[in-house]
Amino acid sequence: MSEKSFRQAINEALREEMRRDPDVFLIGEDIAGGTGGDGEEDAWGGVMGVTKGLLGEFGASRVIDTPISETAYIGAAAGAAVTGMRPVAELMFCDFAGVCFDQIMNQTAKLRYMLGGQAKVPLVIRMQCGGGFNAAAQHSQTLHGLFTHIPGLKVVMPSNPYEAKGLLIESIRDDDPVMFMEHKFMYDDKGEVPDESYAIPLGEAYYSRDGEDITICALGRMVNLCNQAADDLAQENIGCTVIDLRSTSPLDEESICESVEETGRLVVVDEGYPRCGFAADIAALAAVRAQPALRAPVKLVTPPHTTIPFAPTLEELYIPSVDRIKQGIKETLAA
Amino acid sequence: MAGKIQAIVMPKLGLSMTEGMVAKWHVEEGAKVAPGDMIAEIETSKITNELQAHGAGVIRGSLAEEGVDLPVGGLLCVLADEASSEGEIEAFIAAFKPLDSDRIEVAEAEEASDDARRPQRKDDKARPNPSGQQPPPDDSRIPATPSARRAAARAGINLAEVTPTGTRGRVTREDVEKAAAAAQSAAAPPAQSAATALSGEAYEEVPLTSMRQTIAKRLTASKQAAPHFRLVAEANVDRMLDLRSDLDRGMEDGKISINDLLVKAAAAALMQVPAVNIQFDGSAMRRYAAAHVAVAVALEEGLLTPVIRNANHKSVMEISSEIKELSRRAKLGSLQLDELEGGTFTVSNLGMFGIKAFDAIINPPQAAILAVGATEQRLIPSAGGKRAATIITATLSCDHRVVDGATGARFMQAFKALVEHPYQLLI
Amino acid sequence: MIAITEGARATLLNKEILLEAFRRMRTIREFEDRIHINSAKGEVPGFIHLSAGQEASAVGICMHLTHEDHIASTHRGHGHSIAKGCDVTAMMDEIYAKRTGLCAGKGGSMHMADLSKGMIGANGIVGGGVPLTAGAALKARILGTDRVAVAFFGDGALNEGATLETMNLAKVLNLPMIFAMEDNGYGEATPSSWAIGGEVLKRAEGFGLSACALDGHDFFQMHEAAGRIIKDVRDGKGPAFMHISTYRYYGHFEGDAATYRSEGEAEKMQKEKDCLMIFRNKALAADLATEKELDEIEQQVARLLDDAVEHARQAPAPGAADLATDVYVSY
Repeated sequence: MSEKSFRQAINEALREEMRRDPDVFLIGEDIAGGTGGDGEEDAWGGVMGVTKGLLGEFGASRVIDTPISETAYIGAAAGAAVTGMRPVAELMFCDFAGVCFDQIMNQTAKLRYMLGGQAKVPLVIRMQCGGGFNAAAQHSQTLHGLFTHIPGLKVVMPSNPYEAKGLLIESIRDDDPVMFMEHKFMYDDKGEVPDESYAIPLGEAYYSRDGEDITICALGRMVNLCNQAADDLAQENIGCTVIDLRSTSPLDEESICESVEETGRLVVVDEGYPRCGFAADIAALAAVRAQPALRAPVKLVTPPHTTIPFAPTLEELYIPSVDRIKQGIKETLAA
Repeated sequence: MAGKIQAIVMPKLGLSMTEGMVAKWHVEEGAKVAPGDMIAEIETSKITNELQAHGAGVIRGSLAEEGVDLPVGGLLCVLADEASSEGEIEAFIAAFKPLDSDRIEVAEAEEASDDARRPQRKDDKARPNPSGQQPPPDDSRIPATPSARRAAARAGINLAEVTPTGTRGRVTREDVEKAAAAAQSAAAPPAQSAATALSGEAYEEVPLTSMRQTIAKRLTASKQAAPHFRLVAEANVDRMLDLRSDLDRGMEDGKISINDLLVKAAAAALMQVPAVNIQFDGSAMRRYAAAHVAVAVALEEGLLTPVIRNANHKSVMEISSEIKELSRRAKLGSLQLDELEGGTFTVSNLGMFGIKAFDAIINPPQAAILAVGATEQRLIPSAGGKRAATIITATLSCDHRVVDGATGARFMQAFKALVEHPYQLLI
Repeated sequence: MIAITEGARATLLNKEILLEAFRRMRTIREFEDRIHINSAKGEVPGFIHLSAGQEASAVGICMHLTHEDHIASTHRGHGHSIAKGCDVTAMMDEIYAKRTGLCAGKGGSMHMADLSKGMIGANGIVGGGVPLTAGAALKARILGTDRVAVAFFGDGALNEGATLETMNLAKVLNLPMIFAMEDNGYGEATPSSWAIGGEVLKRAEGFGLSACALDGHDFFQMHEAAGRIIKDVRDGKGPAFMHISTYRYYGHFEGDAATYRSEGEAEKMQKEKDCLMIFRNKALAADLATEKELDEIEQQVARLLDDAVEHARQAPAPGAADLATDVYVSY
């Protein structure tokens, strides 16, 4: 066990799986960087440096730089998966799903069903998500809701380095396509990460905090903000259960409902768009499956139904904050 | 200087094994052992295996009680130098913590299978828990919802003893609550035993082996949950007998049996009617691309159904030698758990006992089982009179929840056609 | 071996291959004709796109492929599936939406696929299968095998970004891949001569692909050229592009009156350029086969299709238990 960054945890997961299974390969834009040029090899190791060093160990046949052609290489990764390989494609920003969505939505997600169960598509698409860098409307979105909407895809969002390693290893071993979303604000976050290989099952939530007064559901970076809010409120003798859902598809409905049955109050915190989104989905789940236990209306803490702004002043208002979460919790407790 | 002390723990005999018991100790406290010596027999719900010493030393510490379930990684006894003092042994035992089950490798090399490269799903609950909740250490690997885990810790219930009903086989909080209620009522004095012995009659009380208990539980569940219906068909096996003697001619060792050919025919028929090649857990149905045919092997103490994986892809010779090997190992008790799981269909043959036909109970989560009787000679109408023919009777039991009459019938039609034209099985 | 000379081009075909090619072409035609008739009777659900008229292209190419080589196809994919060896009865069952279908009744005409035969799938999205094919080629490159992958696509897909991106990717990564563009004259209702800016071959050459134009009505030319090109690709000489001229007799989809064509156009093409007719005439003229042999194959194919249609009509439809299976391997 040692302290590692979120970035290192992902790099370690990729390295261990590539060592374990020769069918695993990486493909994406500048995941090495500098391919074919006169300068440094492995110049970038991905735009966030996550895959740095893997070229040296596994060579260019398994760490494959591509032209800037998301449709072509995401499609090729799906084609390689359906014919027996286990690719990990890096889409850089989840926003770029916009240019290759046919290959994700109509091909990757549907192949198994359309082919009557003949196909397995063990493809992982890694991508950054989330705001906080003033990267504006096309580089800051959190599109797990969009992906979760589509049957056939699994959608995973880790909340810290430990989770990132275990969930990525599981995602690579999983036989279904997984959209693996890494919050760009967290790459330098540090945490305890075991050196050995371990896998965290998808669809099994984790109680990141345990308390009896209220249930808070979140995933990814929002879990950390919820934990901060919960720690603050503990000073005021308010006990929060913070559920880190880990994946939105599959979704651990059972753990959410069990907790809501215990606390009777639910706040959902999410960085995605609110309409037809993740937070609304969880609220609907509580209404359908845990209504008798609810002692207050479900509270959703999300951005407004607005494009992500550039100006730091606006972005700060946009992303759910610890204060907004605490306010949401208190309102729910008072209701 | 302190002596060398090692823990001997409950081995993991298959990927899915979570607990086992010492059926019988072969050593006593204080016995000297050498590497390879048999120490004990380990029994799980499915198999019995020998536990051998990996090092030399003296068996120290108290031996785990026979017949009591222990989790994988749980302490069975201690192997130490004679130099180790009692105090050191006690300190070692006091400090012993069971290993995380995912850190324990399966005791023997796995048979290569599709799943082999995928290690057991690891549970992450052993990580430090920020809330400070400490689940009982020995059930941390049992899949459970966080709420169930907490409830079990509060009620002092081991999750391993709770029947899971949640998604992906997880224990839910409700399961824990039910188990807690049952534990309370069990504490009350038991009602009169259901099987009342006649006074004065001589009888022997035979404790059920773990295998017997499992058979009792699973088959009762199958018979209660699955509405069985049966389809009986007869097939002429004359050509199959000819084929067998042709095949035997080329065989150096061991002969092909009619049963080997019938298993192959069942696998081929499953490919033609894949709607029967399924597993069903009561809610979800899985249709498999390959036929994994389980073969019933009768033992003195019960019944095992080892699985011929991908039987549709295997030749008759391969199936034949695999059945021989699995039966041999079943009788020796050295099958791995993984060799007993994953079947999509079962063939049971009591022909060797002269049984004409019988009904079999479906082996869940499979949805059908084929019961094959003995061959019999009959006179059948033929051009210009009658001729002798060799006939078998086969009975298919189907789970009507997922297999309809016509589907089962199509399977039997395909099976009969293959049995009667067996040369197709060689292609 | 029998040599046939046609101008400067010579092709070597043994009789077994020749008759097998005829059988596959004939099977495709018969398959499409039956669906055309039965679709009009209301027997066939969903959207149907038929490839009658385009048989020589599919068969000329697939005769050079094994089940280890992969292809992907278009919405007009029955012909490629048959040419690649998919089971005709299971295909017909699929088109009739039956549980016994090639894709268990979950894909239908536009998603015909059999991975065990190296057929990744027809595709409902124009250009959608082209990147997937690159993935199969990528697998061959990573593992260092001599497998190739062929993307069949139409003239419409040549204007899709997915196709153009993949042409570039294939060149940059030196993938063992063939772009087989079947230009049947129309993308839906719009002539390809209008919809494609510039020249097709120059476009392909612009990406650095070795490109050639082929007469998709002439099986012998298709087979000879495809053999050469596939061998080069197999030998690691880089991706290739074929511009194949062909023609579909039926409309874009079943029910399309095809009023965008000039009157008599389809009939004229069928009379003068039909690939089965050309095959028969050439094979007989060169003494490669007898009338009797070809007639016999036609009769066998007709019986096969009789049985397939009957089987499809009788086969069971999928039911409630099938609705939500095969979405995930595990969930």
